[in-house]
Parts: sequence; C-alpha cells; structure tokens
Amino acid sequence: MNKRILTKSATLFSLVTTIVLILSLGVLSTAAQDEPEPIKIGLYAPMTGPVAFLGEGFELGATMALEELDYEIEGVPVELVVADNMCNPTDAVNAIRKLIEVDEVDVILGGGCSSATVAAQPIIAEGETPAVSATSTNPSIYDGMGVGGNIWQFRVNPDDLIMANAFADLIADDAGSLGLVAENTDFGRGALAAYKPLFEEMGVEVVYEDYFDLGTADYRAGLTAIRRANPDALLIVMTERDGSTFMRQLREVGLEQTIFSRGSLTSPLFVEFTEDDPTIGEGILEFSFWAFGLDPEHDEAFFERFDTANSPHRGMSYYVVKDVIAEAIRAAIEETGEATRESIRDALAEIDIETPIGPVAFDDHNQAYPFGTIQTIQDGVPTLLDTIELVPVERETSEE
Amino acid sequence: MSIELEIFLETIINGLTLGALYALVTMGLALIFGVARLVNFAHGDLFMIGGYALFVLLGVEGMELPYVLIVPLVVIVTMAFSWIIERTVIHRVINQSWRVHAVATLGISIVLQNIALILFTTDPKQTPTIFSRQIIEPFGVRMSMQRVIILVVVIVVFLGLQYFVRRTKLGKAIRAVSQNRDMCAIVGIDVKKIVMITFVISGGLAGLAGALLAPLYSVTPMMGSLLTLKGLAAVVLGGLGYINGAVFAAFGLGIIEALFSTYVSFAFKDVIVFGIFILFLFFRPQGIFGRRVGL
Repeated sequence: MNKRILTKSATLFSLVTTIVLILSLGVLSTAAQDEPEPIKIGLYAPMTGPVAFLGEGFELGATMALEELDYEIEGVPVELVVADNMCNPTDAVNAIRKLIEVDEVDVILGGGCSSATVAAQPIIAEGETPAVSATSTNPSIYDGMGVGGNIWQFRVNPDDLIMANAFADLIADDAGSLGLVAENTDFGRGALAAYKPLFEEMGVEVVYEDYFDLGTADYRAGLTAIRRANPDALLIVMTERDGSTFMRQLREVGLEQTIFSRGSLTSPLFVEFTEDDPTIGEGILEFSFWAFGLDPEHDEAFFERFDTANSPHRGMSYYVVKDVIAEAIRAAIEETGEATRESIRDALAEIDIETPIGPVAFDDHNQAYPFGTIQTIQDGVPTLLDTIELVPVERETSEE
Repeated sequence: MSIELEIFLETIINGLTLGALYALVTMGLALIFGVARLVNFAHGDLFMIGGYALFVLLGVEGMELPYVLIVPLVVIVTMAFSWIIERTVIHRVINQSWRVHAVATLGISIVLQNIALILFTTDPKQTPTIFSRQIIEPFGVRMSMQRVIILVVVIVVFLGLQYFVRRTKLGKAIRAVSQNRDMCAIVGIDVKKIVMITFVISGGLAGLAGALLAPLYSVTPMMGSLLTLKGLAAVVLGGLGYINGAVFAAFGLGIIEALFSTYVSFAFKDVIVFGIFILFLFFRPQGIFGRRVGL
C-alpha cells in the first residue's frame, strides 16, 4: 500500500517537475525572443606582430565609439568581435573567414593595414558581408570595389593616389631631388607607386628609393645610403612605431633634409613615442586624412578615456564606427526593420553625411572623399596646418 | 677625406655596430647549443625581457639609478627569468630530441611575448640614456656614444667568456660537458647543473644585449624574433657550438648587411644574409670554424 502511494507520489512529482520545466523553458525562450539578437561589428586588424599597436588603436577607437552609443543602435544591442590579421595576407584571410563564417558578423571594420585589406577582398565578396576600410590606402583596392566587382567593400579614407595628387605639388615646390623611403608593405609600396609617376611628370628627380621591413631595429645602413644619394628632401611612408625609430636614427646620423611624410609621423602617438626627445619629429610636413586638432573635443575625450594619445588609426576607427557604420545600421533598421548584411550594405551605398573628418558619401567604386589634412609638429606639439577638399582622380585601371 | 671614402668608412662602422648587436645575441645562443645541443628559439625573448627590465628600472620614480648600475641589474633579472625557464621547462626536455627542444622553446617564446603584450601593450617603449643621447663624430661619422659602448662591451664580454671557459673550474666543466656529456657524468660532473648554469649565463648575455641595445631602438614584445633567426644563422655559419666562430660570423654578417644596404638595397639585405647562410649549408655545413662540435 505504502509502496503504491510512494510510486504515485513519485510519478506526480515527476509530472509536476516536467511541467514546471517546460513552462520555465517557454518563459525563458519568450524572454530570449523579446531580447533582439545583437548586431555584430567585426574588427579585423593586426592585434599581434610588429604593427600590433595599429590593431590596438583600432580597438580603442571602436570601443570608444560603441561606449558613446551605449552599445545600442535603434534599441538593438551592438557588440564588437575582434580578429587578428597580423597585417599579413594569410592571417587576414583566416581572420576574415572567422568573422564571416564563425562569428557571423553583420558588418566589418578593417583591416588596419593595406596588406590585410587587399588579401581580404575576395573573401569579403564571397561572404557577402559589408566591410568598411578606415585607413587602408593602397590604390589597388579602389579598382576592385563597387563597380569593380566587389559591391561589399567600402572605403572611407582616401587612398594614396588621391592624396598623392594633392600632396605631390607641395613637395615638388620645395625639392628638386627626392629620396623615397617606405615600409616594405602594400601600404608603403602602394604609396610610392602612386607618387613616383607624378614626380616624374613634375621633373623631380628620385635619387634614392628603398623599403624597410616592419620592425627593423637598425636603419643606419639605409641612412648612410641616403646620405650618399644626398637628395634635397625625403618622403617617408611609415607609421608611428617604425617611423619613430627611423626618425630617431635619422637625427643621430645628422641628415638635414626636409622631411615630408605620408604616414603618421606627426600624430600625438608619434610624439608620445618620441617624448624623450621632442625635437625628433620637429618640422616634418605630413599629408593625411586625419589630424590632431580636426576634432579637439574628441582628442581630449580620447586621452581622458584611455590615458594615451590619439592617432590616425585610433581616430579613424572611432569615426567610421560612430558616424558611418552606426549611421548605416540606423538607416537599415529604419528602411527594412532589421539590420542584415544586405540592408547595411545598401544603406552604406546611400550614405551622405558630414562628419568631423569631412564629407562621407561613396562613389560608384565605393570610395569616399573626406578631408585631406596637412600637419606638422611645432615645438613638440602636433599642429594641423590646413584641410583640403579631396576629389576623384584619373586612374589607369579604372573602368570610368 | 673624399665623400665616397667617408661613406665607406661610415658603412663599415655601421656594419661593426650591427655585428656587435648580432654578436651579443649569438654568444648566448652558441654557448647553450655547445653545452646542451639546445636551439633556443626563446633566446630573442630573453633579449626582449632585458629591454623591458631596462625600461622598468629607468622609470622607477624617486630612485633614478645610473645606467651603469641598471645594466647589471637587468642582467640579474634576465638570469633569474632564465633560471625559472630552465627549472620549469628546459630541464624536463633537455634529454629529448631537437624536435622537442624546438617546440618547447618556441612555446616559451610565444608565452613570453604574450605576457609582455599584456603587461606593456604593443606600444614601443623608449629607453634613452645619457650615452644614447650623446653624439660623437669619430672620423667625421656621427654616431651615438651608446654604439661605441656596445662595441667595447662586446669585445670585453667575448674576451671574458674566453677566459671563463678556458681558465675557471666551472668554465672547464662547461667545456667538458660540451665535448662529451656521458663521460662527464661518469667522472662525477653534474651535467644537469652545468646545463642549468650555462642556460642562465646565456640568458644573462641576452639580457645584457637588451640593456645595451634598447636605448638605440625601441622595446616591443616582438623585438627579439628576427634577431633570434639571425643569431641562429650566425651560430651555424660560425660552426655549431663555436663561440669564436659565431662572433666572427656575426660581425661578418653585420658588415655584409651594411655594405649591401648602403650600395645595393636595404629592402633585400636579409635575402643576402640568408642566401649566404644557405650557400654555407650547401658547401660547408660545418660552418667557418666547425670541424667537430665543441667550445
């Protein structure tokens, strides 16, 4: 008798437990349905390797933008997913595949350096995921974007062909002969390939040209070669880390040529890297698409937030996430009710906004034309000298 | 002096300072290979630890230690790190094959680089000293005093190491182990202890290199990677395990690299360095000085 009662009780208990469990799952599932799926912004950038500071900068900029957006756009939560491309083609392909296929991100920012962005193009097109470049300046990227075939890739920053057309005149006014020095990457090689024909047209003699591997410790032998060539001026294409070591040794050797830069040798981060000797970067004349002083409020806020100086990679990443990607997501949600890869891509193609870095609207090659900036370091302080309106340029391989 | 002669002289001085950099890294690599047959891929990371130790010690607020006092402290710090690495990893794998050595030291290298990445971020750290700021002009060639110090220290360390391994009891034991470990064990030499001491000395040399070279360059988590490869090339070129040969090869590589960079191309200098390395492997695999392995 007791056994039967116990059995019945056990059965009843099991039944009630099962019902409670089912109901709980139902409630949980309804709660999960109420919470919208987060929009994932994928960031691929060099997080390790010789230019890892660029990836770190990208992450800082994107993080600050998302913090200001309160990690939410139109009520939908937004999250950042980071993948390391090590600034090399092989790892860039792996990183972009991971973001598209494993993390299933909705939109991509990066790749932080041209070598990675160039390599990622076919994967981005194949994965049909919108991607926005904030700093990759290699001109060859332009040809493949938009009507070039890859409708998913957009570029906010101007490339080196656009910038060369604005900067080469200024250099030619000052120098009859030039030494060209660049980092041995798609960024460095792409930039010099854009400038050389223009200098040839302008009658500026290039008496020295060489490339330096990322992470080079000792540049002295190259600097001796420059001394031997004795150009009127140098055009340097490097970012802060390698550039600060190069400039330090250039001052040690005592080269007195005028220094032009198409990289980031006048950024606050460069000044931070050379703070032990503020004269290292003094007088460098640089052309870029971001400058300290373009948005003083943000410069100050950035330093307050991270206790480190701003830079082109940090700044551009911030504006591209906060103004461009967020705006596209907002427009996509307004237009279609949800932010899918396709609706974000369509919204990016239609974007036409004013931002602190200039106007952002994409041409049929998905290329934007924000401000060009001319800057220098005066008395140890990065100083914006001028902003220039950039315009489309003629391209040999363009379909236009 | 004609400008071409001045340039040539400057190139040779560049080559010597570059050679000194490679020599400092190479001596430690050659020493540990000679004794333990260990190809230490983490050697460059001990160099990196030396750089960061210098950065930390230079920045200690309120103390402002003089550089000449900081350098030995850096060496002690890297020797301590080397001891920990030896006790935790190396002594467990030292009797295994070279493949195990390679994987273990590569693993150590990755761990050390990532610890540095977490602690110091990826931003390059500057470690200027009064010597790196002081510019001198011997024979019309402008250079930092730090480079002269490096050259002098390399010569002193090289001679000191020669004296140590040839004249002291411990040095003789190290040489003996490098020549025949089994026989040493039979006659009562504690081989594992000798390997440990050699690893720690080797680490100290890497730390010394870091303390001397960081003021000229910048300190980053990856600063030792390429140096390890070039150091290994110099060890092989000099004759595996021969410190004299390794130092000779290091200076040779430095001068060839400087000549090629100045007169041909900086971008392709590593092609020449490793091209020479491959040619040697074809025609003289035992290296310049190598006949048999030993110190």
